[in-house]
Amino acid sequence: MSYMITAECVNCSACERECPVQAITAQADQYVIDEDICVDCEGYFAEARCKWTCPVNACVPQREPYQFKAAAMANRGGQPVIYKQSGNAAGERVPAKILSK
Amino acid sequence: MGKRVVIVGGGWAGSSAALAARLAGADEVILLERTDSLLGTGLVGGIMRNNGRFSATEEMFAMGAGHLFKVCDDNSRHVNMEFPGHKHASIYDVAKIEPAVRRCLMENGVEIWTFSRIIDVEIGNGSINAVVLESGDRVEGDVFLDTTGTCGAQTLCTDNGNGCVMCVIRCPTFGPRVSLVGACGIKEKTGRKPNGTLGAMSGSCKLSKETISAEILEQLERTGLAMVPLPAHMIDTDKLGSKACAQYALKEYAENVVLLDTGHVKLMTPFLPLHQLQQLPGLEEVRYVDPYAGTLGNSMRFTDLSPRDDAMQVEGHIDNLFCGGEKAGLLVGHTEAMVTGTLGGYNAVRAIAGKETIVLPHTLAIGDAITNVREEMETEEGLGKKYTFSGSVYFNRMRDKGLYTTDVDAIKKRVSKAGLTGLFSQKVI
Repeated sequence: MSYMITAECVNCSACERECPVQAITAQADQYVIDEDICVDCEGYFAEARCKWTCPVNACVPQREPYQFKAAAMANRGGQPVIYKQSGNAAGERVPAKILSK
Repeated sequence: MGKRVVIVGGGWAGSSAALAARLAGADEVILLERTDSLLGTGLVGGIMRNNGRFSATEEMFAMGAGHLFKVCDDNSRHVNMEFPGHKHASIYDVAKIEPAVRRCLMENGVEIWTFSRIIDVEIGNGSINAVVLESGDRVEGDVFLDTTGTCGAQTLCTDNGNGCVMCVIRCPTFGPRVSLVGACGIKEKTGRKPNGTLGAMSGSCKLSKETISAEILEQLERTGLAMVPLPAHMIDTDKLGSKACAQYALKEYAENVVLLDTGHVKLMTPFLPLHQLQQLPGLEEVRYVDPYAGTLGNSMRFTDLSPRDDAMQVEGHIDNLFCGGEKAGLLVGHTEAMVTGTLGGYNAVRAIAGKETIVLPHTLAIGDAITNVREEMETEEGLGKKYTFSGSVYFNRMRDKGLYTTDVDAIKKRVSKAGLTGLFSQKVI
Protein backbone atom coordinates (compact mmCIF):
# COMPACT_ATOMS: atom_id res chain seq x y z
CA MET A 1 0.00 0.00 0.00
CA SER A 2 0.97 3.61 -0.19
CA TYR A 3 -0.43 6.98 0.72
CA MET A 4 -1.96 9.36 -1.79
CA ILE A 5 -2.89 13.05 -1.89
CA THR A 6 -6.45 14.01 -2.71
CA ALA A 7 -7.63 17.06 -4.63
CA GLU A 8 -7.93 18.89 -1.31
CA CYS A 9 -4.17 19.56 -1.63
CA VAL A 10 -3.38 23.27 -1.28
CA ASN A 11 0.21 22.97 -2.55
CA CYS A 12 1.77 23.99 0.75
CA SER A 13 4.76 21.60 0.33
CA ALA A 14 4.73 20.52 4.00
CA CYS A 15 4.49 16.84 3.06
CA GLU A 16 7.35 17.04 0.61
CA ARG A 17 9.63 18.38 3.34
CA GLU A 18 8.53 15.81 5.91
CA CYS A 19 8.60 12.65 3.75
CA PRO A 20 11.45 10.41 4.98
CA VAL A 21 11.90 8.70 1.60
CA GLN A 22 11.40 11.64 -0.77
CA ALA A 23 8.35 10.02 -2.38
CA ILE A 24 6.50 13.32 -2.78
CA THR A 25 6.96 15.80 -5.62
CA ALA A 26 5.10 18.83 -6.95
CA GLN A 27 3.13 18.08 -10.09
CA ALA A 28 1.05 20.32 -12.34
CA ASP A 29 -1.92 20.85 -10.03
CA GLN A 30 -0.88 19.45 -6.68
CA TYR A 31 1.68 17.35 -4.80
CA VAL A 32 1.75 13.65 -5.69
CA ILE A 33 3.10 10.58 -3.84
CA ASP A 34 5.05 8.05 -5.89
CA GLU A 35 3.49 4.77 -4.78
CA ASP A 36 6.61 2.81 -5.70
CA ILE A 37 8.71 4.83 -3.27
CA CYS A 38 6.21 5.35 -0.42
CA VAL A 39 6.66 2.89 2.46
CA ASP A 40 3.79 4.21 4.62
CA CYS A 41 6.58 5.52 6.93
CA GLU A 42 7.15 2.00 8.21
CA GLY A 43 10.42 1.99 10.14
CA TYR A 44 10.43 5.80 10.25
CA PHE A 45 7.35 7.02 12.07
CA ALA A 46 4.40 5.48 13.87
CA GLU A 47 2.00 7.48 11.69
CA ALA A 48 2.44 8.41 8.04
CA ARG A 49 4.37 11.68 8.14
CA CYS A 50 2.49 13.29 5.27
CA LYS A 51 -0.82 12.56 6.96
CA TRP A 52 0.57 13.87 10.24
CA THR A 53 1.69 17.14 8.75
CA CYS A 54 -0.92 17.88 6.11
CA PRO A 55 -2.93 20.95 7.14
CA VAL A 56 -5.99 19.97 5.09
CA ASN A 57 -6.13 16.18 5.61
CA ALA A 58 -5.37 15.57 1.94
CA CYS A 59 -2.87 12.73 2.56
CA VAL A 60 -4.76 9.46 2.90
CA PRO A 61 -4.08 5.76 2.49
CA GLN A 62 -4.32 5.01 -1.21
CA ARG A 63 -7.13 2.55 -1.07
CA GLU A 64 -9.23 4.69 1.19
CA PRO A 65 -9.80 7.97 -0.56
CA TYR A 66 -13.37 6.92 -1.17
CA GLN A 67 -14.03 6.06 2.46
CA PHE A 68 -12.29 9.27 3.45
CA LYS A 69 -14.57 11.32 1.26
CA ALA A 70 -17.54 9.30 2.34
CA ALA A 71 -16.91 9.90 6.01
CA ALA A 72 -16.92 13.59 5.32
CA MET A 73 -20.29 13.40 3.63
CA ALA A 74 -23.34 13.09 5.88
CA ASN A 75 -23.81 9.52 7.04
CA ARG A 76 -22.45 7.79 3.93
CA GLY A 77 -21.30 4.36 4.98
CA GLY A 78 -22.79 4.84 8.42
CA GLN A 79 -25.13 2.44 10.11
CA PRO A 80 -28.65 1.99 8.76
CA VAL A 81 -31.38 3.74 10.73
CA ILE A 82 -34.19 1.32 11.31
CA TYR A 83 -37.84 2.18 11.79
CA LYS A 84 -40.20 -0.50 13.00
CA GLN A 85 -43.23 -0.58 15.17
CA SER A 86 -42.24 -3.22 17.68
CA GLY A 87 -39.14 -2.94 19.85
CA ASN A 88 -37.42 0.33 20.53
CA ALA A 89 -38.45 3.72 19.31
CA ALA A 90 -38.19 4.55 15.63
CA GLY A 91 -34.76 5.60 14.56
CA GLU A 92 -32.81 3.16 16.69
CA ARG A 93 -29.44 2.19 15.27
CA VAL A 94 -28.88 -1.53 15.11
CA PRO A 95 -25.28 -2.62 14.79
CA ALA A 96 -26.11 -5.90 13.07
CA LYS A 97 -23.25 -6.62 10.73
CA ILE A 98 -24.99 -9.65 9.38
CA LEU A 99 -28.73 -9.87 9.44
CA SER A 100 -29.08 -13.61 8.99
CA LYS A 101 -32.28 -15.39 8.59
CA MET B 1 -38.71 -20.50 9.75
CA GLY B 2 -40.46 -17.26 8.72
CA LYS B 3 -40.24 -15.92 5.23
CA ARG B 4 -38.44 -12.67 4.61
CA VAL B 5 -39.01 -10.29 1.70
CA VAL B 6 -36.26 -7.74 1.05
CA ILE B 7 -37.14 -4.71 -1.03
CA VAL B 8 -34.42 -2.46 -2.41
CA GLY B 9 -35.57 1.12 -2.92
CA GLY B 10 -38.10 2.99 -0.77
CA GLY B 11 -39.93 5.08 -3.34
CA TRP B 12 -43.62 4.71 -4.10
CA ALA B 13 -43.01 1.35 -5.78
CA GLY B 14 -40.93 -0.07 -2.92
CA SER B 15 -43.30 1.25 -0.26
CA SER B 16 -46.27 -0.28 -2.09
CA ALA B 17 -44.42 -3.56 -2.59
CA ALA B 18 -43.54 -3.69 1.11
CA LEU B 19 -47.12 -3.15 2.16
CA ALA B 20 -48.41 -5.69 -0.37
CA ALA B 21 -45.92 -8.27 0.85
CA ARG B 22 -47.08 -7.83 4.44
CA LEU B 23 -50.75 -7.97 3.45
CA ALA B 24 -50.03 -11.17 1.54
CA GLY B 25 -48.70 -12.69 4.73
CA ALA B 26 -44.90 -12.38 4.60
CA ASP B 27 -43.55 -12.74 8.15
CA GLU B 28 -40.85 -10.19 7.72
CA VAL B 29 -40.57 -7.37 5.19
CA ILE B 30 -37.45 -5.20 5.11
CA LEU B 31 -37.53 -2.06 2.99
CA LEU B 32 -34.04 -0.74 2.24
CA GLU B 33 -33.74 2.95 1.35
CA ARG B 34 -30.52 4.66 0.25
CA THR B 35 -31.37 8.14 1.58
CA ASP B 36 -32.81 9.46 4.84
CA SER B 37 -36.47 9.26 3.82
CA LEU B 38 -38.96 7.28 1.81
CA LEU B 39 -40.66 8.17 -1.49
CA GLY B 40 -37.75 9.32 -3.64
CA THR B 41 -39.18 11.47 -6.43
CA GLY B 42 -42.51 11.20 -4.63
CA LEU B 43 -41.12 13.76 -2.17
CA VAL B 44 -41.55 16.40 -4.84
CA GLY B 45 -44.44 14.90 -6.79
CA GLY B 46 -48.05 15.06 -5.82
CA ILE B 47 -50.44 14.60 -8.73
CA MET B 48 -52.87 11.72 -8.25
CA ARG B 49 -56.17 10.57 -9.74
CA ASN B 50 -55.83 12.70 -12.89
CA ASN B 51 -57.48 11.23 -16.01
CA GLY B 52 -57.03 7.43 -16.20
CA ARG B 53 -55.19 7.34 -12.89
CA PHE B 54 -58.60 7.72 -11.27
CA SER B 55 -59.75 4.42 -12.78
CA ALA B 56 -56.49 2.67 -11.86
CA THR B 57 -56.69 4.01 -8.30
CA GLU B 58 -60.25 2.74 -7.88
CA GLU B 59 -59.23 -0.65 -9.29
CA MET B 60 -56.58 -0.79 -6.57
CA PHE B 61 -59.15 0.05 -3.87
CA ALA B 62 -61.44 -2.67 -5.23
CA MET B 63 -58.57 -5.18 -5.24
CA GLY B 64 -57.85 -4.45 -1.58
CA ALA B 65 -54.68 -2.42 -2.09
CA GLY B 66 -56.05 1.05 -1.46
CA HIS B 67 -54.07 1.76 1.72
CA LEU B 68 -51.42 4.07 0.30
CA PHE B 69 -53.87 5.66 -2.12
CA LYS B 70 -55.98 6.50 0.91
CA VAL B 71 -52.92 8.04 2.56
CA CYS B 72 -52.60 10.25 -0.54
CA ASP B 73 -56.31 11.11 -0.46
CA ASP B 74 -56.11 11.93 3.25
CA ASN B 75 -53.15 14.23 2.68
CA SER B 76 -54.46 16.02 -0.39
CA ARG B 77 -54.23 19.79 -0.57
CA HIS B 78 -56.63 19.90 -3.50
CA VAL B 79 -59.15 17.40 -4.82
CA ASN B 80 -61.13 17.11 -8.02
CA MET B 81 -59.22 19.95 -9.68
CA GLU B 82 -58.56 20.60 -13.34
CA PHE B 83 -55.50 21.84 -15.16
CA PRO B 84 -54.67 21.78 -18.87
CA GLY B 85 -55.25 18.30 -20.28
CA HIS B 86 -56.13 16.87 -16.88
CA LYS B 87 -59.36 16.31 -15.03
CA HIS B 88 -60.35 15.33 -11.49
CA ALA B 89 -56.82 15.48 -10.11
CA SER B 90 -55.89 15.30 -6.43
CA ILE B 91 -52.64 16.84 -5.25
CA TYR B 92 -51.04 15.50 -2.11
CA ASP B 93 -49.07 17.70 0.24
CA VAL B 94 -45.38 16.95 -0.29
CA ALA B 95 -44.57 18.10 3.24
CA LYS B 96 -46.94 15.64 4.91
CA ILE B 97 -46.88 12.60 2.71
CA GLU B 98 -43.62 10.93 3.74
CA PRO B 99 -44.28 10.66 7.49
CA ALA B 100 -47.83 9.51 6.69
CA VAL B 101 -46.57 6.74 4.40
CA ARG B 102 -43.91 5.74 6.92
CA ARG B 103 -46.58 5.46 9.64
CA CYS B 104 -48.83 3.39 7.40
CA LEU B 105 -46.01 0.97 6.59
CA MET B 106 -44.91 0.66 10.21
CA GLU B 107 -48.49 0.06 11.37
CA ASN B 108 -48.61 -2.80 8.91
CA GLY B 109 -45.40 -4.29 10.22
CA VAL B 110 -42.93 -3.23 7.55
CA GLU B 111 -39.40 -2.67 8.81
CA ILE B 112 -37.86 0.39 7.14
CA TRP B 113 -34.10 0.84 6.92
CA THR B 114 -32.79 4.23 5.80
CA PHE B 115 -29.12 5.01 5.05
CA SER B 116 -29.10 1.54 3.53
CA ARG B 117 -27.64 1.75 0.06
CA ILE B 118 -26.89 -1.64 -1.46
CA ILE B 119 -23.51 -2.01 -3.11
CA ASP B 120 -23.39 -5.73 -3.84
CA VAL B 121 -25.43 -8.89 -4.13
CA GLU B 122 -24.68 -12.49 -3.14
CA ILE B 123 -25.96 -15.14 -5.51
CA GLY B 124 -25.88 -18.91 -5.16
CA ASN B 125 -27.61 -21.63 -7.19
CA GLY B 126 -29.56 -19.15 -9.27
CA SER B 127 -31.03 -17.30 -6.29
CA ILE B 128 -30.12 -14.13 -4.47
CA ASN B 129 -29.07 -15.03 -0.93
CA ALA B 130 -28.34 -11.55 0.38
CA VAL B 131 -27.68 -7.94 -0.48
CA VAL B 132 -24.68 -6.11 0.95
CA LEU B 133 -25.03 -2.54 2.20
CA GLU B 134 -22.47 0.25 2.06
CA SER B 135 -22.26 0.06 5.85
CA GLY B 136 -21.03 -3.53 5.54
CA ASP B 137 -24.31 -4.97 6.80
CA ARG B 138 -25.54 -7.97 4.89
CA VAL B 139 -29.25 -8.63 4.58
CA GLU B 140 -30.41 -12.13 3.75
CA GLY B 141 -33.84 -12.89 2.34
CA ASP B 142 -36.08 -15.43 0.63
CA VAL B 143 -37.17 -13.14 -2.17
CA PHE B 144 -35.95 -9.74 -3.37
CA LEU B 145 -37.52 -6.82 -5.21
CA ASP B 146 -35.73 -4.18 -7.23
CA THR B 147 -37.64 -0.93 -6.86
CA THR B 148 -34.56 1.24 -7.19
CA GLY B 149 -36.04 3.36 -9.95
CA THR B 150 -34.15 4.74 -12.87
CA CYS B 151 -32.71 8.05 -11.63
CA GLY B 152 -29.03 8.57 -10.95
CA ALA B 153 -26.15 8.13 -10.56
CA GLN B 154 -24.74 11.57 -11.23
CA THR B 155 -23.00 10.35 -14.38
CA LEU B 156 -26.41 9.70 -15.94
CA CYS B 157 -27.25 13.39 -15.63
CA THR B 158 -23.75 14.54 -16.56
CA ASP B 159 -23.59 12.37 -19.67
CA ASN B 160 -27.18 12.61 -20.91
CA GLY B 161 -28.66 15.65 -19.22
CA ASN B 162 -27.45 19.10 -18.28
CA GLY B 163 -25.28 17.96 -15.40
CA CYS B 164 -26.08 17.27 -11.77
CA VAL B 165 -28.79 19.77 -10.93
CA MET B 166 -28.93 18.86 -7.24
CA CYS B 167 -32.33 17.22 -7.16
CA VAL B 168 -34.13 15.36 -4.38
CA ILE B 169 -32.40 12.10 -5.35
CA ARG B 170 -29.24 13.49 -3.72
CA CYS B 171 -26.72 11.06 -5.29
CA PRO B 172 -23.58 12.94 -4.18
CA THR B 173 -24.58 12.81 -0.52
CA PHE B 174 -26.12 9.38 -0.13
CA GLY B 175 -24.26 7.62 -2.90
CA PRO B 176 -25.50 6.61 -6.30
CA ARG B 177 -28.37 4.22 -6.87
CA VAL B 178 -27.22 0.67 -7.50
CA SER B 179 -29.56 -1.43 -9.62
CA LEU B 180 -30.18 -4.80 -7.98
CA VAL B 181 -31.13 -6.34 -11.31
CA GLY B 182 -27.99 -4.88 -12.88
CA ALA B 183 -25.85 -6.11 -9.97
CA CYS B 184 -27.13 -9.62 -10.72
CA GLY B 185 -25.66 -9.31 -14.20
CA ILE B 186 -29.02 -9.10 -15.96
CA LYS B 187 -29.00 -6.82 -18.99
CA GLU B 188 -31.41 -3.92 -18.72
CA LYS B 189 -32.98 -1.69 -21.35
CA THR B 190 -32.81 2.05 -21.74
CA GLY B 191 -35.56 4.46 -22.70
CA ARG B 192 -34.83 7.07 -25.33
CA LYS B 193 -35.84 10.66 -25.91
CA PRO B 194 -37.60 11.41 -29.21
CA ASN B 195 -34.30 12.78 -30.51
CA GLY B 196 -32.70 9.38 -29.88
CA THR B 197 -30.52 10.24 -26.88
CA LEU B 198 -30.66 8.20 -23.68
CA GLY B 199 -33.07 8.64 -20.84
CA ALA B 200 -35.63 11.36 -20.28
CA MET B 201 -35.72 14.45 -18.14
CA SER B 202 -38.07 14.82 -15.18
CA GLY B 203 -40.92 17.06 -16.15
CA SER B 204 -41.32 19.54 -13.33
CA CYS B 205 -39.50 21.77 -10.87
CA LYS B 206 -40.48 23.18 -7.51
CA LEU B 207 -40.35 26.82 -6.53
CA SER B 208 -40.27 28.29 -3.08
CA LYS B 209 -43.71 29.44 -1.98
CA GLU B 210 -42.24 32.33 -0.03
CA THR B 211 -40.82 33.86 -3.20
CA ILE B 212 -43.96 34.26 -5.33
CA SER B 213 -46.39 37.16 -5.25
CA ALA B 214 -49.34 37.26 -2.85
CA GLU B 215 -51.78 37.25 -5.81
CA ILE B 216 -50.39 34.08 -7.37
CA LEU B 217 -50.08 32.43 -3.98
CA GLU B 218 -53.68 33.22 -3.11
CA GLN B 219 -54.93 31.78 -6.39
CA LEU B 220 -52.74 28.68 -5.99
CA GLU B 221 -53.89 27.94 -2.49
CA ARG B 222 -57.53 28.54 -3.35
CA THR B 223 -57.73 26.62 -6.63
CA GLY B 224 -54.53 24.59 -6.77
CA LEU B 225 -53.62 26.09 -10.15
CA ALA B 226 -52.11 29.29 -11.50
CA MET B 227 -51.10 29.98 -15.09
CA VAL B 228 -48.79 32.81 -16.12
CA PRO B 229 -48.55 33.38 -19.92
CA LEU B 230 -45.03 33.39 -21.31
CA PRO B 231 -44.00 36.23 -23.64
CA ALA B 232 -43.54 35.04 -27.26
CA HIS B 233 -39.74 35.12 -27.19
CA MET B 234 -39.64 32.67 -24.28
CA ILE B 235 -41.84 29.98 -25.79
CA ASP B 236 -39.78 26.87 -26.57
CA THR B 237 -41.94 24.05 -27.88
CA ASP B 238 -38.89 21.88 -28.67
CA LYS B 239 -38.33 21.32 -24.98
CA LEU B 240 -41.56 19.33 -24.68
CA GLY B 241 -39.93 16.39 -26.47
CA SER B 242 -37.34 15.92 -23.76
CA LYS B 243 -39.86 15.44 -20.97
CA ALA B 244 -40.36 12.22 -19.07
CA CYS B 245 -44.00 13.05 -18.60
CA ALA B 246 -45.57 12.97 -22.06
CA GLN B 247 -48.97 13.69 -20.51
CA TYR B 248 -47.79 17.25 -19.94
CA ALA B 249 -46.27 17.69 -23.40
CA LEU B 250 -49.15 19.93 -24.48
CA LYS B 251 -48.94 23.40 -25.95
CA GLU B 252 -50.50 25.00 -22.88
CA TYR B 253 -47.39 23.97 -20.99
CA ALA B 254 -45.09 25.53 -23.60
CA GLU B 255 -47.03 28.80 -23.76
CA ASN B 256 -47.62 29.29 -20.06
CA VAL B 257 -45.86 28.84 -16.82
CA VAL B 258 -48.22 26.31 -15.23
CA LEU B 259 -48.03 26.24 -11.44
CA LEU B 260 -49.67 23.71 -9.12
CA ASP B 261 -49.92 23.82 -5.34
CA THR B 262 -48.26 20.73 -3.89
CA GLY B 263 -47.06 22.50 -0.77
CA HIS B 264 -44.19 23.67 -2.86
CA VAL B 265 -45.09 25.48 -6.05
CA LYS B 266 -44.83 22.84 -8.75
CA LEU B 267 -43.63 24.37 -12.02
CA MET B 268 -44.71 22.14 -14.88
CA THR B 269 -41.62 22.40 -17.04
CA PRO B 270 -38.35 20.42 -16.92
CA PHE B 271 -36.30 23.58 -16.40
CA LEU B 272 -36.37 27.31 -17.05
CA PRO B 273 -33.58 29.84 -16.54
CA LEU B 274 -34.22 31.81 -13.38
CA HIS B 275 -33.62 35.17 -15.04
CA GLN B 276 -36.38 34.37 -17.55
CA LEU B 277 -38.75 33.15 -14.88
CA GLN B 278 -38.11 36.33 -12.91
CA GLN B 279 -39.28 38.43 -15.89
CA LEU B 280 -42.83 37.20 -15.34
CA PRO B 281 -45.26 39.26 -13.28
CA GLY B 282 -45.53 37.91 -9.76
CA LEU B 283 -42.37 35.81 -10.06
CA GLU B 284 -39.81 38.62 -9.87
CA GLU B 285 -38.19 37.22 -6.75
CA VAL B 286 -38.77 33.54 -7.35
CA ARG B 287 -36.21 30.81 -6.55
CA TYR B 288 -35.93 27.07 -7.01
CA VAL B 289 -36.19 24.49 -4.24
CA ASP B 290 -36.01 21.37 -6.43
CA PRO B 291 -33.87 20.80 -8.29
CA TYR B 292 -31.71 23.52 -6.82
CA ALA B 293 -30.30 24.14 -10.30
CA GLY B 294 -33.71 23.96 -12.02
CA THR B 295 -32.52 26.99 -13.91
CA LEU B 296 -30.40 24.72 -16.12
CA GLY B 297 -31.84 21.23 -16.07
CA ASN B 298 -33.56 18.39 -14.29
CA SER B 299 -32.86 14.83 -13.26
CA MET B 300 -32.48 12.20 -15.97
CA ARG B 301 -34.43 8.96 -15.81
CA PHE B 302 -35.33 5.77 -17.66
CA THR B 303 -32.12 3.93 -18.02
CA ASP B 304 -32.03 0.46 -16.45
CA LEU B 305 -35.44 -0.93 -17.35
CA SER B 306 -35.65 -4.52 -16.15
CA PRO B 307 -36.74 -7.36 -18.40
CA ARG B 308 -39.84 -8.70 -16.61
CA ASP B 309 -42.95 -10.74 -17.15
CA ASP B 310 -46.45 -9.49 -16.49
CA ALA B 311 -46.34 -10.77 -12.92
CA MET B 312 -43.37 -8.43 -12.30
CA GLN B 313 -40.88 -11.27 -12.02
CA VAL B 314 -37.51 -10.33 -13.49
CA GLU B 315 -36.53 -12.52 -16.42
CA GLY B 316 -33.05 -13.98 -16.45
CA HIS B 317 -31.00 -16.43 -14.45
CA ILE B 318 -32.25 -15.41 -10.97
CA ASP B 319 -35.34 -17.18 -9.63
CA ASN B 320 -36.22 -15.00 -6.63
CA LEU B 321 -36.16 -11.50 -8.06
CA PHE B 322 -39.12 -9.22 -8.79
CA CYS B 323 -39.35 -5.56 -9.73
CA GLY B 324 -41.72 -2.61 -9.66
CA GLY B 325 -41.96 1.09 -10.43
CA GLU B 326 -39.96 2.75 -13.17
CA LYS B 327 -37.72 -0.32 -13.17
CA ALA B 328 -40.65 -2.28 -14.49
CA GLY B 329 -40.92 -0.24 -17.63
CA LEU B 330 -41.64 3.10 -19.11
CA LEU B 331 -44.64 3.56 -16.84
CA VAL B 332 -44.40 7.09 -15.52
CA GLY B 333 -45.81 8.34 -12.26
CA HIS B 334 -46.59 7.62 -8.64
CA THR B 335 -49.84 5.78 -9.32
CA GLU B 336 -48.08 3.62 -11.90
CA ALA B 337 -45.25 2.86 -9.46
CA MET B 338 -47.73 1.96 -6.70
CA VAL B 339 -49.59 -0.36 -9.02
CA THR B 340 -46.56 -2.26 -10.33
CA GLY B 341 -44.93 -2.25 -6.89
CA THR B 342 -48.02 -3.73 -5.28
CA LEU B 343 -48.27 -6.49 -7.87
CA GLY B 344 -44.53 -7.21 -7.53
CA GLY B 345 -44.68 -7.40 -3.74
CA TYR B 346 -47.76 -9.61 -3.83
CA ASN B 347 -46.33 -12.00 -6.41
CA ALA B 348 -43.00 -12.18 -4.59
CA VAL B 349 -44.87 -13.62 -1.61
CA ARG B 350 -46.80 -16.03 -3.83
CA ALA B 351 -43.48 -17.22 -5.24
CA ILE B 352 -41.99 -18.00 -1.83
CA ALA B 353 -45.26 -19.69 -0.84
CA GLY B 354 -44.76 -22.01 -3.81
CA LYS B 355 -47.81 -20.64 -5.59
CA GLU B 356 -48.10 -19.52 -9.18
CA THR B 357 -47.72 -15.80 -9.72
CA ILE B 358 -50.76 -13.85 -10.85
CA VAL B 359 -51.10 -11.74 -14.00
CA LEU B 360 -53.87 -9.14 -13.98
CA PRO B 361 -56.33 -9.44 -16.89
CA HIS B 362 -56.83 -7.11 -19.87
CA THR B 363 -60.29 -6.25 -18.57
CA LEU B 364 -58.62 -4.05 -15.96
CA ALA B 365 -56.69 -0.89 -16.85
CA ILE B 366 -53.83 -2.03 -14.63
CA GLY B 367 -53.52 -5.45 -16.22
CA ASP B 368 -53.80 -4.01 -19.70
CA ALA B 369 -51.16 -1.34 -19.02
CA ILE B 370 -48.65 -3.76 -17.55
CA THR B 371 -48.89 -6.10 -20.53
CA ASN B 372 -49.14 -3.36 -23.15
CA VAL B 373 -46.10 -1.47 -21.90
CA ARG B 374 -44.01 -4.64 -21.71
CA GLU B 375 -44.88 -5.40 -25.32
CA GLU B 376 -44.17 -1.82 -26.40
CA MET B 377 -40.80 -1.88 -24.66
CA GLU B 378 -39.77 -4.76 -26.85
CA THR B 379 -39.72 -2.40 -29.87
CA GLU B 380 -37.25 0.41 -30.57
CA GLU B 381 -40.13 2.78 -31.28
CA GLY B 382 -41.81 1.81 -28.02
CA LEU B 383 -38.67 2.64 -26.04
CA GLY B 384 -38.95 6.21 -27.30
CA LYS B 385 -42.35 6.73 -25.67
CA LYS B 386 -43.61 7.09 -22.11
CA TYR B 387 -46.72 5.45 -20.74
CA THR B 388 -49.07 6.63 -18.05
CA PHE B 389 -52.71 6.26 -17.10
CA SER B 390 -52.93 10.05 -17.12
CA GLY B 391 -52.25 10.96 -20.73
CA SER B 392 -50.48 10.42 -24.01
CA VAL B 393 -50.58 7.06 -25.81
CA TYR B 394 -51.66 4.86 -22.96
CA PHE B 395 -54.55 7.07 -21.83
CA ASN B 396 -55.74 7.08 -25.45
CA ARG B 397 -55.64 3.29 -25.42
CA MET B 398 -57.53 3.24 -22.13
CA ARG B 399 -60.30 5.34 -23.63
CA ASP B 400 -60.41 3.26 -26.83
CA LYS B 401 -60.81 0.10 -24.81
CA GLY B 402 -63.41 1.59 -22.51
CA LEU B 403 -61.15 1.21 -19.47
CA TYR B 404 -61.31 4.88 -18.51
CA THR B 405 -64.22 5.72 -16.27
CA THR B 406 -64.86 7.70 -13.12
CA ASP B 407 -67.82 5.48 -12.25
CA VAL B 408 -66.59 3.79 -9.10
CA ASP B 409 -69.37 1.20 -9.10
CA ALA B 410 -68.53 0.21 -12.68
CA ILE B 411 -64.90 -0.24 -11.65
CA LYS B 412 -65.90 -2.34 -8.64
CA LYS B 413 -68.03 -4.45 -10.97
CA ARG B 414 -65.26 -5.11 -13.46
CA VAL B 415 -62.88 -6.07 -10.68
CA SER B 416 -65.53 -8.37 -9.24
CA LYS B 417 -66.22 -9.87 -12.67
CA ALA B 418 -62.53 -10.67 -12.96
CA GLY B 419 -62.79 -12.41 -9.58
CA LEU B 420 -60.19 -10.11 -8.05
CA THR B 421 -62.14 -8.24 -5.37
CA GLY B 422 -59.98 -7.92 -2.29
CA LEU B 423 -57.16 -9.90 -3.93
CA PHE B 424 -54.29 -8.00 -2.35
CA SER B 425 -55.76 -8.14 1.16
CA GLN B 426 -55.83 -11.92 1.24
CA LYS B 427 -52.96 -13.79 2.78
CA VAL B 428 -51.25 -16.28 0.51
CA ILE B 429 -49.00 -17.71 3.21
